[in-house]
Amino acid sequence: MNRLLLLVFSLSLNLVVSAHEFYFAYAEFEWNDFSETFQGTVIFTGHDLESVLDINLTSTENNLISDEDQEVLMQYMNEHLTLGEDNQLNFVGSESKLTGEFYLYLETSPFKQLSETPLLISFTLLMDQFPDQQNKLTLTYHEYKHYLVFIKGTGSETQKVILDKENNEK
Amino acid sequence: MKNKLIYILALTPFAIQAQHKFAQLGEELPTPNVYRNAAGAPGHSYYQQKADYKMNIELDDDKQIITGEETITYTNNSPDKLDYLWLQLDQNVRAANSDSKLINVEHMEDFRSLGDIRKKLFEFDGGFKIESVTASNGKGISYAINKTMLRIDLDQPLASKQSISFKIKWWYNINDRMQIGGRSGYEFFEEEGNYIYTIAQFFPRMCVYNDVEGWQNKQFLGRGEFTLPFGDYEVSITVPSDHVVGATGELQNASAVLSSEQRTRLKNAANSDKPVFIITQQEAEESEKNKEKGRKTWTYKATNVRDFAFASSRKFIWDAQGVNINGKNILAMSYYPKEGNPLWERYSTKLVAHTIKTYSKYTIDYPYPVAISVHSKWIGMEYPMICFNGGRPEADGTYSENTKYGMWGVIIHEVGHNFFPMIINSDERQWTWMDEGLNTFVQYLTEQEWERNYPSRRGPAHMIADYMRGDKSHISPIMTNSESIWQFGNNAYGKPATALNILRETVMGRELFDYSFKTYCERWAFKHPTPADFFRTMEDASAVDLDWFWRAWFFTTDHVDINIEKVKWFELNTMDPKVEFAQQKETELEQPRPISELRNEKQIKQTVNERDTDIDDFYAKLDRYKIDQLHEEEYESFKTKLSKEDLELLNSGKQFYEVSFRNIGGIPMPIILEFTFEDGSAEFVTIPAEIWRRDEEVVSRVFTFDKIVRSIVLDPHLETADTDMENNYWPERQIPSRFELFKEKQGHENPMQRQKRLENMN
Repeated sequence: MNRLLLLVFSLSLNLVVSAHEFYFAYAEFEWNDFSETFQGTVIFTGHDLESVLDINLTSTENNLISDEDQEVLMQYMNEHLTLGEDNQLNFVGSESKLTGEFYLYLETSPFKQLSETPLLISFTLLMDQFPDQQNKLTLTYHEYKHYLVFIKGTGSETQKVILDKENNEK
Repeated sequence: MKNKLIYILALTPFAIQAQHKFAQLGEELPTPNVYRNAAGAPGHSYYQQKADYKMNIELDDDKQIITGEETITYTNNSPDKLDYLWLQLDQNVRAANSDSKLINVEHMEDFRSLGDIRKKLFEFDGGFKIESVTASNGKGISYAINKTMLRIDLDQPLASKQSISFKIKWWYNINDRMQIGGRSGYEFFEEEGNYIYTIAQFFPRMCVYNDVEGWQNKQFLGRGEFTLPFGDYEVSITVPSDHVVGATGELQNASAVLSSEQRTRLKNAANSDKPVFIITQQEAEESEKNKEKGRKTWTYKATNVRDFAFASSRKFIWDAQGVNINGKNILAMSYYPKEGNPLWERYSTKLVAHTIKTYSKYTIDYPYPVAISVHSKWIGMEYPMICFNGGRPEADGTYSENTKYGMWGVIIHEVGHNFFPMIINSDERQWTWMDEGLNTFVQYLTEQEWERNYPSRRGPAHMIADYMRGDKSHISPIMTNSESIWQFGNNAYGKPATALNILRETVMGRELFDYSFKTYCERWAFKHPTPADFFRTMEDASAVDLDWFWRAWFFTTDHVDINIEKVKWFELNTMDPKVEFAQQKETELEQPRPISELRNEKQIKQTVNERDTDIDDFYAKLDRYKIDQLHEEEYESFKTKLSKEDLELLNSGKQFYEVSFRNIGGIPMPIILEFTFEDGSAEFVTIPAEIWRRDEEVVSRVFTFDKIVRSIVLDPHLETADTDMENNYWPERQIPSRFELFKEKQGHENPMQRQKRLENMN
């Protein structure tokens, strides 16, 4: 028997009552040789994460989220999107689109050495709240492209990728 | 690098491949028959059943309970005798023993917080409590309940063309929609103690019996929605006397439930092309405070509908306007609480009016007397003539653009569902795309007519690319049962809507598409179409073979990725030495020179043959590009063998480009090309998808122009949902990523830094 250590406070008790049927987040990251980082964009339904984190992403003035909300957002992102086990994602910018999509621009910290060790990637954004959530990530490393799908409960929440091997599509 | 084209005829060997992508749809579609013909229309023996309802409904505002009694008259129009009847008990999806609670895959890591565990342990019994099922003579009828289905066992089989009436009494607890979700339920406004009820699936409803499924009695698990026969309804709803009830159908007893002032306002609204208040915000706010104790019964009648829903609250503001649809006046109406304003009083009814007008243009004339939008926080859900829609401003009355567009989109979408599936009555439990996909497509057209460049989220081809590319292990073909679909929204809403938009804009063209789509809607209005009926009608009415398109877009998970594989450039050899020699010389001069040659030019002051004139012989002195008399005579002789037209063609300066394309993604699509010439002008060429009909992987075409091509772009107007645009350019072009575009837009300063700098300036 295992002992279950519970969080007393969860992020949100909201149930799945959203009007939309998307439950889809998409991320694309590309390696930058100069900065030795991955730079990219995460796209998700803005009001989904707003309701989960109780922050304001879509009703902001001049498309600028507050410092406090940015901090909450980035803490959540770093818990639910991993590119490299010990690497942090840093906020570059964001845009709320009128389609309801939220574009979050991120950059990893520099990788000192990207060896042949597989890169650990996980992308569990919104999966705790929405059982149907499916996330996709396109990772581009030089001429290699890796297309990854993340679905809760399928063992695909965390994946390992050898960047310069054609284990996905080139 | 251009090549000179000398040979008139070249034979290219080709491999004969098995035909897959353009194979006709055979076993994928059911065999046409007397009920549904090969043209996609109802067959000469098409039939459908009829279910008429008379109901008395009580809403208990203290306990949040619905109590009901219904008399169903069921008419068997099929050629078959029926031994039993099946009804749907959809509320049983909320019963304590519901399967829907058991079928979601769970892991222990799903329960990391007390909140997660509270959610799992939460219990609510919202299932139907069936009190009696009796014949019209009051005698009990034997019945059996299998979860969300109820079977009535008939003493005598119901023969073809015969009817039977029976009575059912029931009650159930209404769900708190804000706590446990749901398509219907209530919202409680704690500060004032009032409720808004949006009530649907509230009565035992007849299943569809037809030539496709027999009884469509697939259990309701929560996702695949409803399949219902048409019928006439008369429903009396008893509610607190200060409640306002909006429902499917027309109000029959206005004098009993509305004041004379309200009746006058309603009459005025019917003749107004702008919303007129029947109940103002001030009047609604008065009702909220008073909470009358009496009861009133609102009676509605609806003819030829497949379902019935209603909304009830003392909080409702109510406005309405008339909409003229080809000479018929429809009443567009909205019911909403003050919490919906200022958005709802400004937009809701106008959106309803615009939606039924636009859909009527593309499908069939809206046939019902009313169309209603009811405010309902968060959700969007549709029923005949009435729908429940989200879009709530902040408590201080402000709202974001996102909220505004969200509200607009959901009202257009849900009102649009009047057409799909309420009138063009497909089987939602089997095929979500047939109503959601088609509706989302017309929603897109409607949004674009509401506001120029409306930011629609679904419809434009390029917007589905992120979903379609890459790993296919967890996406499904569109032709997948509603309960088994991965990525429900993109699969059943986005992809089919995109596919139809591509058909309209690119494959068929607007005229052919609109005619065929309207034909489908006219053929199947107030009937039960299947996917094959849709596929066949679109082809039958347009004379466009679309089997390849249905196969690729609806039966597979392939994606679109076509590249420009190779470009070869040719021009005709004129055989004129003046032209050809000059060009050969120019080409030679353009050749890169080796480094040693360049350095020697300066470093070696004089070579031996430059010093000693005896060294250079005939060959050394030969000017290979000098035109002599022999060249001229040979050319003159050549010309005499050509006709005037041939000579003109030879000297026309035509440029030839052999362009090869590879289908990487699997879906064969038209090849749309933009050629830009050296002088900056451009020409567009569209090659039908049938170019792939034999060679499914690589094809090539030769393009002829009078000018030299500077660049070629494949799919320049983002028409095909191509998932990789980087390989669509010749010469190759780097496509900036979203990240790079954002960085370029922002410069070196992030928006916050810029904002702070702006603030410091003031």
